[in-house]
Amino acid sequence: MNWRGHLTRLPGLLVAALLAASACAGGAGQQAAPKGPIKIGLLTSLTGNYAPLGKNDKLAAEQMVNQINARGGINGRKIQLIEMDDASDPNQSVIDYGKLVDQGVVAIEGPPQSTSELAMIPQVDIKKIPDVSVAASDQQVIPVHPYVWMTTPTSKQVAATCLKFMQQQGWTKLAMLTDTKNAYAVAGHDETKQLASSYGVSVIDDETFELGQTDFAPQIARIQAAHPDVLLTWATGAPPVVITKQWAAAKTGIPLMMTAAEASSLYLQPSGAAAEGVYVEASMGVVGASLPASNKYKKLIDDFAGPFQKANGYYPPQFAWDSMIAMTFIFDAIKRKGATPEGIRAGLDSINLDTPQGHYRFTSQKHWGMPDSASLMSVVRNGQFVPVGLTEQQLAQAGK
Amino acid sequence: MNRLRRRPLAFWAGLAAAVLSLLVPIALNDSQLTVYVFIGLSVIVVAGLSLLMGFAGQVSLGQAAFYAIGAYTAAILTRALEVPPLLSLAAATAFTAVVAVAVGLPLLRLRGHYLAFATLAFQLIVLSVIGEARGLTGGDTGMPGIPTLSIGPLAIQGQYRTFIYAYVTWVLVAAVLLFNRNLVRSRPGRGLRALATSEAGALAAGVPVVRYKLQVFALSAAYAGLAGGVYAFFVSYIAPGSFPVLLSVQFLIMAAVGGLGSIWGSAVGATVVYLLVQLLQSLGTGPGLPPQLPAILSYAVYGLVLVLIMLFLPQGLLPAIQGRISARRAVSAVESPARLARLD
Repeated sequence: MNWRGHLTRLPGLLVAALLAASACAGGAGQQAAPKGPIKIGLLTSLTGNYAPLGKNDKLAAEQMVNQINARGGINGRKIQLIEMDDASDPNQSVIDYGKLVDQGVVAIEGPPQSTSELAMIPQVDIKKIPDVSVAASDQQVIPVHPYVWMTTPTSKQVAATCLKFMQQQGWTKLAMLTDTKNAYAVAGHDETKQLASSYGVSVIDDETFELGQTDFAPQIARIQAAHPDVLLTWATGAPPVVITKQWAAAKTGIPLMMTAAEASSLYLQPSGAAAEGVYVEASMGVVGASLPASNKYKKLIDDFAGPFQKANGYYPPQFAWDSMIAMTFIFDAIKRKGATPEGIRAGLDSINLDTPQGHYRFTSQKHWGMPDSASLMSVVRNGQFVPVGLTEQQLAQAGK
Repeated sequence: MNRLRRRPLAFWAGLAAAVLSLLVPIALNDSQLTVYVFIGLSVIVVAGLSLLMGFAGQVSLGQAAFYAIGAYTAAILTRALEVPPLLSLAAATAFTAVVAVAVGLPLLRLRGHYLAFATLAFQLIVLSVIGEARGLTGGDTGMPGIPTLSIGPLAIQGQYRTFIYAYVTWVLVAAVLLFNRNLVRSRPGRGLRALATSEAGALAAGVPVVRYKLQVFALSAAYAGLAGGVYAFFVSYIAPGSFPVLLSVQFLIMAAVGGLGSIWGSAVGATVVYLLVQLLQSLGTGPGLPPQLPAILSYAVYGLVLVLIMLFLPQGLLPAIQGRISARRAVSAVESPARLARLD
């Protein structure tokens, strides 16, 4: 290598590179014209670890926008969806939020990964463009950020659903297997541990693993030796599939329980027969097909699930429902309070709305609001999520 | 004057680059300024990595770990102990260097790619420790509410926050690049250059090979720590997920694309790679576009571009361009007797 060559010369290319920076690092900053389409941002993960979630966010959001535009838009104006891929990278979500703001969006649906969402919240606080998050982390909304709301249940609600079901089954000895590299999993694990005693449940084995682990034999052996009544797994993505298969192969006879992150065909399909009989905590939309017609929200569920299934060939998973509900909130806010960021903020602060996940109510002090009864326990039967442990009466009332 | 005349093109190009990069933020909107800041922070990390790879012949696959250590040190000092941000930033830089010395001390005595493997493992360890030390770091949920950079009562906030951060980053980039330039021209720099050519030769000529390698490693870590500190103040939220192993790989790619050991090349490499990633991402997203398109662009096209660069410009972008220009000038010098006479 010619050292003297590069050490003494100065960077000519930097000029060109920086010019290119201004050309492609985002669009020109323009406020939405009051008569043109209403611009809504969709910041999601289309590549990287969270792509399977983000893909369903995208499909659901586009279906919602196409539907409302086909009906003539909101207050006579069409909706224009502007999409960004954060590549499952929190740094990129910070950039992308800014890009969406510069392109004049009036509201944003946030990324599926809570780390990405949390990384961009300081920007949301500064730029004040409302952001409805579909990620699961209580930290997004507690304490309240004036421009951030979330569609998902709190980790306390999820933990309570699991524990209530255990109590109902007379299960008192709980083992947990937690992905320690996952904020959703860790928060849920901690809540469960804290609430367990009030449901008469004691945690007798507390196992952990890290994303990327593919052999769970040591954990399974220890759990089996502890003889719990049930194993609750706190994880997302590929590990739950592997755990399900290895747990089935071990023939422990001990029931296995998962949470809403597995309430999806992304978990069911690769798990195959091993998933049969696994308990999965899920939000109401996911088990919508099994809800009785007397449930008030059944029609809302079918109205979305039908076209989704027709277009994509599968029943909407949890992530699609979250995205669908985020769009429902934004549309409702625009309809009631106008298509400006401040109007939408006021609209979101006063959400009082029926959705496929039950009746949500937001206030300026409470930016989450899925009803407790919309978080259900289901069991996998013939590759379907079927509600379990609830009477017909309770199912009819779910979501209220 | 004579020196100016001998290398006028490079000098003016460099001056133009400096002036232009100073002026560019005025024309950028806020999201573009954010990209500008992130590029600047990458340049700082890559400047150290390029030095380490080009001169000490060592690869670090864990540079994002030092970035994380810098970020967490600055954040914890400012948030929990209320140390002034600038002091925290200095402490973050120094502490990261100390950690690098502790890691490098046993490893750099070995030849070959031990450092590469060890730094990769080191990053995984650092991320685990951050995840477990929840009381201090907030664990995997991350640490929100990190204060912004400030000097006394003057804090970087308000409407021009990103704009000011762009200039803070520019100053740091300029300082780091000039420091590197002077370093390789100094006595240790000559030793490093000898080391890069032949380790045995350098050793025979009396260059303290192990010590120099360790010092370059510590310097590269300090740069990463500095950039990480600024990152924490700028984004004001950090989590282990903000510093994935992929980030280390991206720094490595930037260093290779810019030209290993090329001081100004690290700026070119970081900028080109960062903008390429942004461009591919913006091309792949839009309503109605297939959900697979972003993956094709971000993996296949990105990979293809990198392979092509490595195939046809293996010494890196800037060294390759410099090579072309000096070759052309050599030819024109032969053709023009007048210029030849002037060079004499």
